[in-house]
Amino acid sequence: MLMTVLLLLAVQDESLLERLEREISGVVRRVRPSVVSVEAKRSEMIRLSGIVYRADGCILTDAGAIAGADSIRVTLFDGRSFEGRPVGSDFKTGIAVLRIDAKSLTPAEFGTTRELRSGAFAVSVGNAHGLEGSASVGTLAGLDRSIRVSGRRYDGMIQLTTVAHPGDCGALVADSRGRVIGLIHSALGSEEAEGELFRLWKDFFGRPLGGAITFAVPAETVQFVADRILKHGRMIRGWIGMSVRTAESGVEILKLEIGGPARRAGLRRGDRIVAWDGESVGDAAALQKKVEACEEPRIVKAAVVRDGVRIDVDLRVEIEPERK
Amino acid sequence: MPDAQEVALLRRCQGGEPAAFRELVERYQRRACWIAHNLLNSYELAQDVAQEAFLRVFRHLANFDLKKNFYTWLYQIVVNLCIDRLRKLSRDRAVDLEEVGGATDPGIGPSEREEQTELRRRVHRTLDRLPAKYKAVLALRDIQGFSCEEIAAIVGCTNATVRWRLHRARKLFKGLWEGHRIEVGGDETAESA
Amino acid sequence: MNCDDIRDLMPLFVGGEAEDNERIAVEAHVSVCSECAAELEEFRRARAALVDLRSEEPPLEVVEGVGRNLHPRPLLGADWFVRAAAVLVVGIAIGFLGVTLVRKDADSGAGGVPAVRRSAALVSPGPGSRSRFAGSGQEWNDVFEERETRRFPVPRADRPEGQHYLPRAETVTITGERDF
Repeated sequence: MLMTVLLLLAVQDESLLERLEREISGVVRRVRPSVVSVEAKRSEMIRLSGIVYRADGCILTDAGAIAGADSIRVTLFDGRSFEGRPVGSDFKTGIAVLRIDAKSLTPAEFGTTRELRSGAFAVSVGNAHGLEGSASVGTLAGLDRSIRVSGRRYDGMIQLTTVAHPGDCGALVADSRGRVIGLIHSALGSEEAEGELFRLWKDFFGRPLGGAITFAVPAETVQFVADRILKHGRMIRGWIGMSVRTAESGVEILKLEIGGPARRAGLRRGDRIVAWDGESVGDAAALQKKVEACEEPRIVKAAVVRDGVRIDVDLRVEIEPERK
Repeated sequence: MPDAQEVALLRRCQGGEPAAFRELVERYQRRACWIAHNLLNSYELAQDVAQEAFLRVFRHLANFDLKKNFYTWLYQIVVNLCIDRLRKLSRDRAVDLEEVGGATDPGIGPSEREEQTELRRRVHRTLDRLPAKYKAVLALRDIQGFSCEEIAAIVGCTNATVRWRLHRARKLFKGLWEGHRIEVGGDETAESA
Repeated sequence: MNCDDIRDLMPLFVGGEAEDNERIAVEAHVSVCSECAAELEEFRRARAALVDLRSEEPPLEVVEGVGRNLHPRPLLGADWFVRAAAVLVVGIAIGFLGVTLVRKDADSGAGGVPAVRRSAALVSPGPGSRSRFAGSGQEWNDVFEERETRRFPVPRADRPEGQHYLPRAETVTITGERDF
């Protein structure tokens, strides 16, 4: 036994760097067949990336890019191209599901972000500037980011140091095992956040510099949304119409949507939700998950604390109304 | 604010060093040529104007105030020469400036025959329909990326005038640009709104 | 502010020259007025077509041709520069005169060869006149002006143009706020 180990160690004349390189390119090779390029014909041709979700022709990409497109074309890694038919889009997360007439595709294997820690390896494969299958290696820079894109807020995004260029939207990000941990959504590009050089670049080229602060929709969310769209033909998620933030104990209500179930039930700003459906409330993300998990309207018993007083409330969780 | 290095270079030029003048030309010839091309839409004419501009610099460098920005002065000369040229050309004949660029002069070479994409041709055609002073501020701002202050210095007017001209120029350009799309029709790739 | 006023602000808005209050007014208005939003889009598109010309620099041989015929032959003696310049200026004057005369007779065709270039060639550099720009030891494209350094080509895929898509995140926070 010892001899075998020593023998193996002796044979191992690969440097750490070479080994790393081999493993990383292994990941790229593994996920490459699951990355597609997407072209949406709108007032001009929009080019981006997509992920193969199911072997029978289900593709995921960015909802904003294909909105209102006259036609969509999906090109696989082997060059075959197909017409893409939209199945459904979820504007809250920016995920769209397409169908193409192809079978035995290589779907991407999905991982989770739950156990990931900052600094974990991330490998992205996309279509930067139309250069198909461009790979970039980086790390996970952070979890649970809230970003603002074109006036819309997206929560729970993961932040990466992989470089994303125009065309990389919709591309996949994999962990060190080659499992998808995210779908590329956007890159940081605010004039204030970036220096003079970046502003000049944008001024000059008229588009943002592909930066090393890239945001992706986490794998769990991608799967949740994609599965719902496939199941119902559109995104179905539970909704009660409020904006919350994790508090010391429970979750604090920041805003209430007019006409929403929470407001109708008498909840107020500042209320702290401490119990939901018989369980104590953890953080905002956890409560969101519980609420959105509902696939049909139902009554839920909750408890809030208002001015130190615990109040029991019956809430009707509804299905989120369609909005653009 | 002139760079100390450039001031040193200019001093050497004023002192009569050929290498210094060559260096000066090589530093600015690309940009001078490019600005001229923006306004004249002809590589041949652009090269011509750029040369002429440097010759004038050559001639008057002794009197140049080293506290001022050199490039502002150079581009001022380039732009003025272009405007003169445009005036002359439009007077001589109703010319499509693109045709002037199709040189048979072997000195230019195959680059002149490189196709601009159809879109860029249209941009140039549209630009060519603008009056020279509007075309100048538009090119200096949107293509060359100069600030309004710099454009004011180059063109020789106030900041407010530059903004006014930009306003007019962009309005004109946009109107013509839209018009372009409608009138060309058939062979155009359809662009749905 | 009505639609006409807003549309009047659009030309400067799209180029970033609008004042802050003007910018805010436009942004606010187009978020509720779809006609004006469409009009703004037209302005943006027109400008984008123009901005596209930023990647259309003159070819190298055209650019290098500017300097090639300009450099005077180095003469010995301290006042060579003045003499060279004088020769150059005289040469140009003669050249101009000559070609102007010619031009008056010539028909408009492909256009005559510019006078400046011809006459400048009278003092074309002889062999050995091309000295390296030793003085400062710099490469010619090593520029000191920040503006110059911005121009470098972005890799492009060898395929038809279109917009490669990647939205820009304007802000990022870690408040942990959630909407549902």
